Amino acid sequence: MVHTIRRSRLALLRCYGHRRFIVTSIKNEFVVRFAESKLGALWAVIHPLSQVLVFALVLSNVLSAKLPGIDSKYAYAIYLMAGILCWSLFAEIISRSTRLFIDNAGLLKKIKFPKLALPFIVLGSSLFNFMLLLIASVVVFLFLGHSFNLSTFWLIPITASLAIFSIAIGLILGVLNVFVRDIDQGVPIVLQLLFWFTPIVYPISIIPESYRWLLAYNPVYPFVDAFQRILVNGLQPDYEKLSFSMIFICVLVVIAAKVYSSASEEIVDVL
Amino acid sequence: MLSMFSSLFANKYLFLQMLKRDIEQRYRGSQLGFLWAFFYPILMLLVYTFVFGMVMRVKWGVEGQDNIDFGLILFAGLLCHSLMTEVVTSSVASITSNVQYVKKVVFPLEILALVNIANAVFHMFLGTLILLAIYLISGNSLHWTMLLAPVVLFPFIVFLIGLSWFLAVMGVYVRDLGQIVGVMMTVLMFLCSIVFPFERIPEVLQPYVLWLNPLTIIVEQLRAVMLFGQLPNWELLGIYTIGAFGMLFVGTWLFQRTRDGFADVI
Repeated sequence: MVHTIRRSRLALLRCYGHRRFIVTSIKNEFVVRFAESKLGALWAVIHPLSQVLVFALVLSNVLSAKLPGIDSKYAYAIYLMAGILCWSLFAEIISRSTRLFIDNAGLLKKIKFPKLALPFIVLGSSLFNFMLLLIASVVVFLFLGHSFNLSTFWLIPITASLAIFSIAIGLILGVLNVFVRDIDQGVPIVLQLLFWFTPIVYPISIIPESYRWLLAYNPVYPFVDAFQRILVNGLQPDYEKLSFSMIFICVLVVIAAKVYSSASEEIVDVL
Repeated sequence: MLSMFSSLFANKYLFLQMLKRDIEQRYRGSQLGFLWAFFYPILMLLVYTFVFGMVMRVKWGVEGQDNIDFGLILFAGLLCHSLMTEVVTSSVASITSNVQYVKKVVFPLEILALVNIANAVFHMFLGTLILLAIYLISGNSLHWTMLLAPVVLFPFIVFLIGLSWFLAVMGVYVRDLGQIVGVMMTVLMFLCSIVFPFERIPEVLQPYVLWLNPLTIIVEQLRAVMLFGQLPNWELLGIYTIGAFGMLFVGTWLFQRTRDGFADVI
């Protein structure tokens, strides 16, 4: 344990030394995305927004159940948006960090730099995408006549803990993926599964009682729920649900540090 | 147009090698390897059955079809959708990701799209086997109309060949196409009768969903022949076939016209 902590601290310090490299890499990524395609990074906004649009258009008809708590005719669209906002940050960090070391194999083999800088780059650019989407969502919310209150600021700690949660899982998966390539095949499937098993597209009230206990085992649900409470209902997050997640996050971070520090030397050799 | 297909015949060895390589490459390095090709459709089937069948309680309330599981109905639709998604996403990049074939050697570029289609069709075939297995396990007996499934899929594949040549060309010139196509495939999935019956789609949208979404007619006919033991709606299928050959013609024409310019653009 002490060993892990010392090595993690060292690795983090080395990353701090390379902070300029991390920042320029994040910037670079956006420049490249705009160079490759006209709308570049804007696709990070367009994609989820169009998803919301399609679901709102089609499923509000299928889902005859109304959302409890608010009576706006756009309630469903707002609910969807809050959930997808949260989900897109989680999914982006996970899917990108799974392929982190594999995709950067060339870089890792040729240049000497702290490997741990890579997850920070993913974290930074995913959070930037998230900010773009958040701004777009706020604009849409205001446009639909939805207002905000002080509890909106709760989004800051919630987003931060979601980001740590995601990157910890992502780092574990990313390291394992170097050794067992099946992770690469499995992660997109599990992400799809989890997306549909989380009340994002449908309200929790329509899940039959007999299946509702399953939600307690969904690690993303507390975050999605917090986003929905804050953005849709203007409430504070549910502390009870989140407190468990906080403990879970701490455990994950420890596991991630352990997995990473015990495998970090071998990664480059296996790649 | 014929020259595109005679090229396939002339390069059949190359075609088969590339197909084999592509299939192998997808599962290379993973422990379960080829088994993933079976896992993926089964897992998707479970998710969508849970979400749309149990949570959203979508019902296919058509007479005499109660005994056919919701999951199977869904699965037949998903098979068509994932076939198209695979073809579309791979063909957008088929020229741009094979720069070496475009610039360095004389290579039958039209083969690239056909390899993608054959790969996707192969995976759909595996999916169909799973569908049939579940269908039989859940105590149904096969209908003879099942033999018509290739007839139903034929115009769809013709359409996809045309579309993939079309998208291969457009992918060279429109750099955002990969993203646009990703968004489009989500739209096509939900503005279709895949996860809920056609009648549940808002009535204003119904004609558009039927005539503008290339999946709707095929999905409906495939279900009819494979699960319900009905004959396909020949009229719809006939119109679709004409449209599909139209797409094939446009795709071929565009590809032949622009192929010499690829090397300059990428």
